[in-house]
Amino acid sequence: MRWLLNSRTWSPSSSQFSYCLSLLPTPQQDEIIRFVKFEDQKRYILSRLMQQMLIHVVFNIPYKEIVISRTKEGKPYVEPCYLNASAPNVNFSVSHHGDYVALASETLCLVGLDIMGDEGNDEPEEYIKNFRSYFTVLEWDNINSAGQDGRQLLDQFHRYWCMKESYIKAVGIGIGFELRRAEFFFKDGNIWGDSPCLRLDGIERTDWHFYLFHLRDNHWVCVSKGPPGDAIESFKKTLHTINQLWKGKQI
Amino acid sequence: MASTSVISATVPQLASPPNNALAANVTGRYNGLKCCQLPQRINLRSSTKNCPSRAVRIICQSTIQQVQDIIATQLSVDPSTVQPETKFSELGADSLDTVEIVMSLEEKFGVSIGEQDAENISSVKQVADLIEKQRSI
Repeated sequence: MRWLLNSRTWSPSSSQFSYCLSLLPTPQQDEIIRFVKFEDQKRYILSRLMQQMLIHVVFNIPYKEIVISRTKEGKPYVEPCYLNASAPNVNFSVSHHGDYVALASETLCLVGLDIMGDEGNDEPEEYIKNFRSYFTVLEWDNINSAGQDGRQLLDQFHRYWCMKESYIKAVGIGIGFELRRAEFFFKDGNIWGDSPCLRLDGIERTDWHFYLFHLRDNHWVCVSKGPPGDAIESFKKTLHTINQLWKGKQI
Repeated sequence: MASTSVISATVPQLASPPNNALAANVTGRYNGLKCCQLPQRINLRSSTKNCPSRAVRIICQSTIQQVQDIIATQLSVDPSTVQPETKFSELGADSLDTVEIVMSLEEKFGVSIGEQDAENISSVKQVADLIEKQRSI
């Protein structure tokens, strides 16, 4: 599944919003109302509702009975008791930024998703410099090859950041990963390409696939797909099938 | 390579909710205005347990409170929901949020938090302790 919603165009009335909130378990309602900005509340509620809808659509479980738990790293996962032989590893990744909330799911391979966009930086060059240590030399050179054009610099930075996030979200790490370990490059040298490749700890990983998309208003999305065996332990335990023949398989 | 299609849709209009379906804990106005009022909760005990003297206790309390405020501002959440034991993942922070929080804290406190330390931060108290450690060097 690949779902994308524009949260900005959703203008619920107070009763509609309350109704949507009431569809979620109380702890999740508390998580949503802690946000002081209504736009954040909207994004979060849409993200939660999309996750519920995924489980409902895939497994036909009534909404009120759906349970979505999180690993200690914060990765949401499908309860193993829902999984079956035809959908052994249903897993999903959600992201929201700016106007968009998105969800990607797969039934067998791991999937990760991240959206990046502008945060109102007036000085892109100065802003990006703060993140130098999170990129390899190759990546940093690629980002800065955009030159003095602030828009292109930010786009490159957002692209690289959502590539990295899509990987770590797929394996279930959350935060606490040395981002330079995952180096992204383009085989044909085109830094504006849509199919980056991954080198993890210096080794090229042909069993991982990444897809970059551009959305309106300077948003970038990256979707990652990879082998279930790469999931971290706490997430791997929730999957049914780990030992799959994967080597270089196109998905 | 398999193509991936992206389905873009606006959120469908919801049916009118039944009268008794309103969530009890959502108050206030919507459409961009603050949606909730939560009581202020400041847990002094957990933020001071490692500080021996009264003067040092005050400094310890001040650091963690400032850290909580900065994190709450960065993540746009109600400050009372940011407690010392709160994990960043519970607040919905991703890697970018964490890096930006660390940058704000470094600027506020005039310290430098190493990359390795920054990447291992997972809770509010952990980052406050790191700052205290840097300030005492």
